[in-house]
Amino acid sequence: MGYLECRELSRHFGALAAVDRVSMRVERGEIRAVIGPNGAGKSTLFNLITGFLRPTGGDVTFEGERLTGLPPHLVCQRGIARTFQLTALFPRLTALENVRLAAQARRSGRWSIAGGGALRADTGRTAEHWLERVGLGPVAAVPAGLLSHGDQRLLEVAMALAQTPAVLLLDEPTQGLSVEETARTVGILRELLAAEQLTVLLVEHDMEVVFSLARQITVLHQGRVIADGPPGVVKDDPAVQAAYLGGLT
Amino acid sequence: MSLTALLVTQGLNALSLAALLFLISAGLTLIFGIMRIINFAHGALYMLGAYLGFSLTLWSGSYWAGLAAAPVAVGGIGWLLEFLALRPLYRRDAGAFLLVTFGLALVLTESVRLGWGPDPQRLAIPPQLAATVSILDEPFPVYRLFLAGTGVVVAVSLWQFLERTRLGLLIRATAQNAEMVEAVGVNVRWIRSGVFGLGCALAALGGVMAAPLVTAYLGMGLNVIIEAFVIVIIGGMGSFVGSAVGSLVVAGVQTFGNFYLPELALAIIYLAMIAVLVLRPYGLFGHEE
Amino acid sequence: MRRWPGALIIALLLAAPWGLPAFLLTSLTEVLILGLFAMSLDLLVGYTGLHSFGHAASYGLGAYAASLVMLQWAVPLPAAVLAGAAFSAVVAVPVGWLCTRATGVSFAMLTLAFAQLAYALAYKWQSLTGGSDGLAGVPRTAGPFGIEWFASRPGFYYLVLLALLASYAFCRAFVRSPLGTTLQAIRENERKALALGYDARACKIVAFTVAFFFGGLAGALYAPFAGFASPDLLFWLLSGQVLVMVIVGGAGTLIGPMLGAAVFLLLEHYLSALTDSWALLLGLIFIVFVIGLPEGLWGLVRRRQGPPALLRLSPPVPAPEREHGLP
Repeated sequence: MGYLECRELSRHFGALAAVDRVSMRVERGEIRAVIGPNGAGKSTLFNLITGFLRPTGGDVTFEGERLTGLPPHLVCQRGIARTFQLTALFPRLTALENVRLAAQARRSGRWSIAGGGALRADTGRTAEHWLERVGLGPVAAVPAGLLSHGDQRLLEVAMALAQTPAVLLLDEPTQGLSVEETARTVGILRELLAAEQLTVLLVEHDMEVVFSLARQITVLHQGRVIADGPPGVVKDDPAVQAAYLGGLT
Repeated sequence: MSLTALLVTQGLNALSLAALLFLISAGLTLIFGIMRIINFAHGALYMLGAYLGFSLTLWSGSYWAGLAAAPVAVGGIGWLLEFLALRPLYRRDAGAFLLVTFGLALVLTESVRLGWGPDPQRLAIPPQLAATVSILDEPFPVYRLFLAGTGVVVAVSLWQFLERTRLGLLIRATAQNAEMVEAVGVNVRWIRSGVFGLGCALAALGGVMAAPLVTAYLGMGLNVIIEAFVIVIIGGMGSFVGSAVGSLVVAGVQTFGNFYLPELALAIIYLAMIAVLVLRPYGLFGHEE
Repeated sequence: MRRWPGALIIALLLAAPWGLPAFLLTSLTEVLILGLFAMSLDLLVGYTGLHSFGHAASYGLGAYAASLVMLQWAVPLPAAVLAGAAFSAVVAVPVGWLCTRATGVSFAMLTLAFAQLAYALAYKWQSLTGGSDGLAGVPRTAGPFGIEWFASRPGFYYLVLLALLASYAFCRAFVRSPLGTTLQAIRENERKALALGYDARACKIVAFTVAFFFGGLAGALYAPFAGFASPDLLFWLLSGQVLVMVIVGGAGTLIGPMLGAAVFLLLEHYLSALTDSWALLLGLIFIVFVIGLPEGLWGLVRRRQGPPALLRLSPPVPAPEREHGLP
């Protein structure tokens, strides 16, 4: 049994099967990318795993326990952190407070309605640490909404890491970034993932990013898995070339 | 009175009330569908319709002139309000819309108080409709039949308008995906203004038609907006069918409740709303957002 | 240095009974009560992003409950006031549970609907609430230990001031607490808060309950202040007025709504003497603030002091994807 596993996972919107009987295993410590052309069902798959959408069929399990049907916050409490394709932050709060809130989310003291000074100090240190790690230390006091788009994408990564997740789901971390920003982000991600030994599931459009980060690739096309394996194998798969790589050129 | 006669006349009463409620809630839900905002001023516009209908009838000497002119005038006012007060807010969050339309409700209510004074204004039932007919040997006011009939006609024409015409298609498309409609070269702003104006005109039509029954009074806007809120919560936000069904439910409970359990009619309506909230939080015909 | 203005204001408030003529002290007492009421609403509107259009419910519930325990059982005034606040908070739990079933605009509609239900109940439940006349002759009961000092004008003023200062101190701690900061996260982006693992709905119910407690406290102080509790205290107009105080004063701050309450009463006093259309002016002022000055008066004051207020920077409107179905 895989660490994080989808079995026959489906989601229909009316007659459309956005995700159609997808089975996929992510092993502990693995970095796996989910790729596919637009509309292949990648984001829907993420939303199914994280509880933002209910599947119409199939199951998601994590360490052998079912996640299916749990609301998003409970999925997250199990240790599954995610970022969003469209940057999702707390725009009027500072970068530091954004990350601090992420660090606080799984601590038992989060329910206190007064006090909490010790927790604040502790989570504040965690937040500073992660901001430094993604290179955002200098802008810690800037409201998140005023950061550049590239910094906002990195801030989301810092938030996800501050949750101390067991599995990290990254939804197009380089979406909308310039070439230089993409290179910077990929560099930071590579270093972080290597250092933290994280289990990562990554949705990404940019093939260079995928090939430089992922060890395993799942290819979706029209909601179905059409290939699965290491980058070298997937690249040469005729079905993939027909459906995806061919479609790009 | 026989039981059948009772049921039929009360059923017709409920239908006439449902027609009025539908005019309000359909406008509310139409505006919500396309703009994702709740117009708190909707009740005030309904009241304004009633008062304008009263004055226009008095001025022209004909109820029919008032019935035709007041919705046009209020639709124009609504169009103007959208232009002046709501357009600056499209880049802001939903809270700003709520607050501004609430402010508009205060301003409109006060304007009516200043314009017409605090006393209720009685609008007479037009002579053509002042008679009663006999239904199963029971007298029944023609005016209520007129209300029910108008409600059905408006509901069907609105529905056909949305389903069959190109403009209706554009409105539905804008509700689904405004950016896409913008991209094919349609001016979404005008659609928004137009729908807002149309919704306000429907509210005013309801107001003029209600005026002979309940008189035009200052609290009528609030009473009706609460009922309309209950209706769209029961029927589902943004659902045209939902507002029709919700209107029938609320009107039915009110009419029969007032007859059999006058003390509990209000409680039953709220219980119905709570039941819907618990079992289907997006309303009977709504879907998850 | 920055603590000086606050300390000065508290000192002035403490000294007020010696310096002010009686009628002004009464007005000031009312300002403090409404300031507390407005501050409690801002916990929802400004901090959590929940637009409650029925906050008069908390005020009226507190007022009726406090009045009843004093009239029926002669409970000492401070205890009755706390009982009023507690009653309001207890009612808030199921109502908040229901209102947060729906999100966004539906929440706003539900709060108004439930407040009007409370209004209708107060109107119809003649035997308990006195119907449209309300409860008259609400006393300022003596005690505990027979202390009658609260019944006097300055004594009652100090009781209100104490309640306000204590509430402010608590609310300040509350908005900075782990849960309080979570509420601001929910205001900014509820989906993200969920994705971080916060139970957004439970947090909102807590916020609703706390806001009702302090709204109830304000109402429970108002009844013995005015000597009556009437259905008007539950009416939507009051919900609207307190919302005006919050927005004009400055949503998302604790001081702003209190400032808003003071400005509101001042305007009401002077404008209603000048013109009988003051409510119209008030509505227009409100609209102008929402459109043009969303950070309110207090935001304006603070903008001069420090970095620009960020209220203009509204959270991004989520794209109309159909994929954020919340459970």
